[in-house]
Amino acid sequence: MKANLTMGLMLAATLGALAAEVEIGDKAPGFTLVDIRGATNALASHAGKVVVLEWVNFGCPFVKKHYDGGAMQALQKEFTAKGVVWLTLCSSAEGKQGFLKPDEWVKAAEEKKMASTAILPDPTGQVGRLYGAKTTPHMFVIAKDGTLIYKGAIDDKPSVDPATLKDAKNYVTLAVTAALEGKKVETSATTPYGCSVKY
Amino acid sequence: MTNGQKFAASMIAALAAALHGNAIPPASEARLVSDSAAIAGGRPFSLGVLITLEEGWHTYWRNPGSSGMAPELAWTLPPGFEAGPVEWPAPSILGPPDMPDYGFERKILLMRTITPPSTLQDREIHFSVTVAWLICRDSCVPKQAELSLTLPVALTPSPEPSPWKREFDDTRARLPRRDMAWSFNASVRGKMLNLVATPPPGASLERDVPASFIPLESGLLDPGHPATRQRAGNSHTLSMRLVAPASPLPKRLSGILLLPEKGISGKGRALVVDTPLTLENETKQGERK
Repeated sequence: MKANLTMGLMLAATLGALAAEVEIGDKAPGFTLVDIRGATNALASHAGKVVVLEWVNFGCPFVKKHYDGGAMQALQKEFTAKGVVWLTLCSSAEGKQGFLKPDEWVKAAEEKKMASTAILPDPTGQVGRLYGAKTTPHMFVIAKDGTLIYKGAIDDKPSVDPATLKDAKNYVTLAVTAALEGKKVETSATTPYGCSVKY
Repeated sequence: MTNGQKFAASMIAALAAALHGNAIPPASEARLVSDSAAIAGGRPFSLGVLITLEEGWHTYWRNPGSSGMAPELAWTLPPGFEAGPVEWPAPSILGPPDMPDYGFERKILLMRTITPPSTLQDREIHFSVTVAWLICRDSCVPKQAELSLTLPVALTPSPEPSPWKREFDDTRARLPRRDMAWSFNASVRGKMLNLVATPPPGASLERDVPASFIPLESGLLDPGHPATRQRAGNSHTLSMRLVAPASPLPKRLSGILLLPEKGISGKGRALVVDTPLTLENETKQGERK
């Protein structure tokens, strides 16, 4: 029992240390979560593909800005059509804003016409902390070789106003496009904006 | 739970949902106020947007920190009126250390100095401002208001203060201040930005330990990476993590140094930091040995 507890604390400490150390150029840390339809989804299974991680909470006005007019879904659609794996994660703990049960998730995904490859609830917050996800949205892009090539904001307009979408510089579009074309990502780290993740 | 209790619970939940949807309490309000009851030609006065918040809610500083959004103010001033920059009081650091927000609870007055033209023809002057601000508790709610204020033109060159004068004075006392007796030195080495803060000679180290540095703009430093502190003699070094070490750096480091509550002899709790930012070459540093 005591040994287990110690192990648990050591693991937690290791995860904590990793969370602070996920940096551009590092190998993106692996994780396995169960998606909203009950299928197991491991990051390792997407090796060789560009992967986008998106943190979401539909109660957050910043997320609403990107979803209500269909902007986020359009990005998901555009890039999954180009072979990108788009994983939408939700680290809201049970009882906190943004938490949905799997059946509620399926309904929300259909209503919002989400085009993510998979939607992965992370109610323990383990993967969120592993990546240091701070806000919704908070975006990460992983290159085909498994290294992290972008982390930060979705765009350069930290606002809840949908009018700002039009002239926004979308960092995820830039990073994914560069990755698909085998070019270097120019802006690889920005400060994310949004609501805090409801761990 | 009995069925009765379940029913009662579901009714309460339904009622709460109905309230949430239709009759959400304001939680936060904004109004446009002046420190002067009237305007005199050529005599500067202050206008401010006063945002009040219900307990538990907060709004944000110009750099909101790990999450949130700074209030956005769009002012409409009559022709000939000049306006200074919005003056931001020192914020509180809210939330957990790995996800701090920089913001305000209860209330915040965002003021600017207005200088009227030397002669005023009208009997009264109309000001307006559109404010968009975000309030957060365990969830976030965007707010927007169009505010206006009409002030009479004074018959005397020194008009009376308004009932809001006290609010302006209290806020001015919380504005970050410049203190030439302190010296600052900022440099970047690798992934870290080091700020060396040296208080005036004779200042008590215990009382004047620099608590936290917050940049004016987000994007330079990672708010979720707590600063490490070192003390050498009378100087304190705060090492903070850059968001994007590979990106071009700003020429200057601009921000505020938040001091502990009782620091600096009660003369204020935030200092303006505005100092050149230099790049230290790591290999060069090694060669110097």
